[in-house]
Amino acid sequence: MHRRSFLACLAAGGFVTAAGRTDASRNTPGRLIQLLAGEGVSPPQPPVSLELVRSVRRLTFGPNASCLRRVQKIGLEAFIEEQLAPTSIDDQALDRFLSRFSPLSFATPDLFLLREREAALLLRKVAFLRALRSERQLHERMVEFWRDHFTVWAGKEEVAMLAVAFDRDVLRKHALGRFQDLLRASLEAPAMLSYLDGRYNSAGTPNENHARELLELHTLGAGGGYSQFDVHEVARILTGFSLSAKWRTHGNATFARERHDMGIKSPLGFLVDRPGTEGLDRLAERLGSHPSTARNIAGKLCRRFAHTEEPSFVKRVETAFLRSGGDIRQTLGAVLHSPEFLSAPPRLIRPFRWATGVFRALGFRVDGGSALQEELGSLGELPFDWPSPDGFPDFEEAWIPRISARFRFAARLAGSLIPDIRWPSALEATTLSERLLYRPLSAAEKTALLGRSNEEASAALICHPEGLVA
Amino acid sequence: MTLPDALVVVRIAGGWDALNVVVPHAEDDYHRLRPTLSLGRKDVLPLDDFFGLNPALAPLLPLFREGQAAALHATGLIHRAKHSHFIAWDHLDSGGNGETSPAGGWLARLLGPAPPKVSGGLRAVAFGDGPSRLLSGLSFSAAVSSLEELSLPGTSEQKTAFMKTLETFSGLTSLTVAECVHRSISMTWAIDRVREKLLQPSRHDFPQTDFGRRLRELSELFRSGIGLEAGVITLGGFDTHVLQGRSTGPLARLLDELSRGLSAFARSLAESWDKTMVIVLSEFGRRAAENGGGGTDHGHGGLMIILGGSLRSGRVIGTWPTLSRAALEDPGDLRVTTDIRTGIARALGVQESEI
Repeated sequence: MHRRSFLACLAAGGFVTAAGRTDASRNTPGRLIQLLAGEGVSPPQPPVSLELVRSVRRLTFGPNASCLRRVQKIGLEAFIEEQLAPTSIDDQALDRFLSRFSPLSFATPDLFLLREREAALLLRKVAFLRALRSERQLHERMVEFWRDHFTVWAGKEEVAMLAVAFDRDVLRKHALGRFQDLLRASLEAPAMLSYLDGRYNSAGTPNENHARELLELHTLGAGGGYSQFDVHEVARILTGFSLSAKWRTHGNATFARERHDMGIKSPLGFLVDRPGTEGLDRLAERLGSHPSTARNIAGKLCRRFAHTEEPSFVKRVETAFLRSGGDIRQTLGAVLHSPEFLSAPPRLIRPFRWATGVFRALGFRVDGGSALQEELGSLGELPFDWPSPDGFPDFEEAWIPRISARFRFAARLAGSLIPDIRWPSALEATTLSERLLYRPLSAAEKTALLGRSNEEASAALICHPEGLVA
Repeated sequence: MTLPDALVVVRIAGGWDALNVVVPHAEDDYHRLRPTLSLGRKDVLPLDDFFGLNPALAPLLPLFREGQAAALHATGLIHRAKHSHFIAWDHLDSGGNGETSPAGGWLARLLGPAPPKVSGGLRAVAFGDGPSRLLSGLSFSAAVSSLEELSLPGTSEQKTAFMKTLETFSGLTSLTVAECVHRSISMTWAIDRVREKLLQPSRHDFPQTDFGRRLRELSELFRSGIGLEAGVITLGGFDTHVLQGRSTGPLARLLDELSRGLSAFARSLAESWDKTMVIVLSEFGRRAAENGGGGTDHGHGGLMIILGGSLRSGRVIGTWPTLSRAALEDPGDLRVTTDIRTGIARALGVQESEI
């Protein structure tokens, strides 16, 4: 595809304006936010318990009216089961909407028709739109989880373009599949190879960057029992997998035999005697089923969804991982169908999920373009913008010193200062409280709001401590 | 124990190439190990007969000449951190000894016990893209990319109305996060007061980069009277596995940004520079030998630079282990002869156990 026709097709999708300038989608309907008729206008009936609201917050990017109605209809446990089987949930409306962003389905070489900025903008826009609008909320939370676990940074070289394919073919494809498959896909993924210096990893002069993160972050974990020797051996297995000079025209042909170490490797006490992709198969198989990997993944899932790494809980989840052969759905099921999940201590929600949750609760349509992305950056959590391979932190202490940034976001939102987002001035504080906090205002809160403008009252309610935790 | 009035920790992220920052130009093994990357006597800014600064650090040379700078060489975490950025930073920020990693950061523990200088002010700020472990656990600390991110729009009446309402809301809930909201509100006020000043151009030539802007903001905060005691700034990009260059190139560009920034910072503080200390540290150094790609891989021993108006040094300090084959540590690293926590403790005049 030539650049020109490609731009035309982007423009049709409202992603690039006629002048070729990247911008928020100017031509798309719903560019300005609108209240969706019938969505979130009244509190769901019967009234929900705040405990249930928090549980749903842990599973989703924030409840909205339809999502809470569903939970009330079928019960929390059935809702979890339903969300664990995302293909059973109709998400066609979103799929149809996203089909206008044609680069999402481009083969890797074609992604280079995008400029870096365009690719990064698209990547983040779609990540936001899916979080905001997908009915498969738990699946999206898992995509977010793996986006942290297998971090790639869109700010490095060509990663932004490659990450479009990475997001699609690695993270989304395997989000609830088998961990081993996810891991195997990551090993050869151009985005990961670019991000972790695969092109500098050659026989004789191995570059250990990918190998080290693979062991420390992606699989065994920091205390997982490996040595510098193991890192070196894994680096040898990975030699030759990179972006070659012919990369842009050859798509996925990432293997350069002449740069591959053909020798026998023995990381972690097992032998890899076959070169090339067979070596990667073996590596993914061994690392993906290693007990330390099970512990690492289990611990991270427990922390993410139940806010605790209580050892006996992690152990149960770890067992679920190992017994199921690294089946992510079953492992996650063990986390969610547990007393620990139900009694998770309240924890500060990270900013991306919090901001998305505000929009979801209020039924806002936000396009996720550059204006919103700037706000997310200020809040500290713009997807694909974490430079180091450990991903956005998943502990509360990390985010507490950034709380003030949320005040600013709330004031800008309620003051209609974020470009393209207009705050509905008719929204009453009483309604806002029902939608954001799922309860009426208390008498004391009503008193505090006396004499406040809609803007001031709204900003304060957006930042209400109850809405900050899940 | 008297800590400096203003303490700045500059985190050099990626593991900087200590040997090409403060260069042992008179050592033959250095040139042997780095056939294409070594800097000779004529290339460096000599500090003595043996060591010299990478020429990109020229803006710092006057501070060395006046004795207001010192370089502690061959320092690092005595306990090895598997050459891992994350483990090393975890130990370095928390003050862990390699076996255990205490909750919170050493800077938070050091500042924590003393009462804040200004009640309801801002005690410490960490600039960077991410959260700061160093300050974790310290009340009245903020982590931001830029002060602008924490400032509220609107008139002062509007801001007051918003903050007062939110304050009431958080006072009415028993969630622990409400307390954090409460503290964040007082910080927002403190920062609001400094913001005005930042709108004026600076007389000092801070680099026009995130790092330069953050140093400028830090300088304004220290002088604003809001009670700021410590600042943390991270400068990343030092993970120079490939084509790092010598006196030009990626590493030199970073060193130039670093030294121009710190020099402007020192000058901007005027007389309060006397009561200021800047500690520049990195999670580790790099392999003594260059790799096949014109770069260097992670290595153990590294370098720390200390700056301050009341310092009397100007030299390279520490014990130099040499780069001879026998002296190197497997797999070919500069040996650590001074634990980095000892270095920090000595610089601050506190017990090592406090770091």
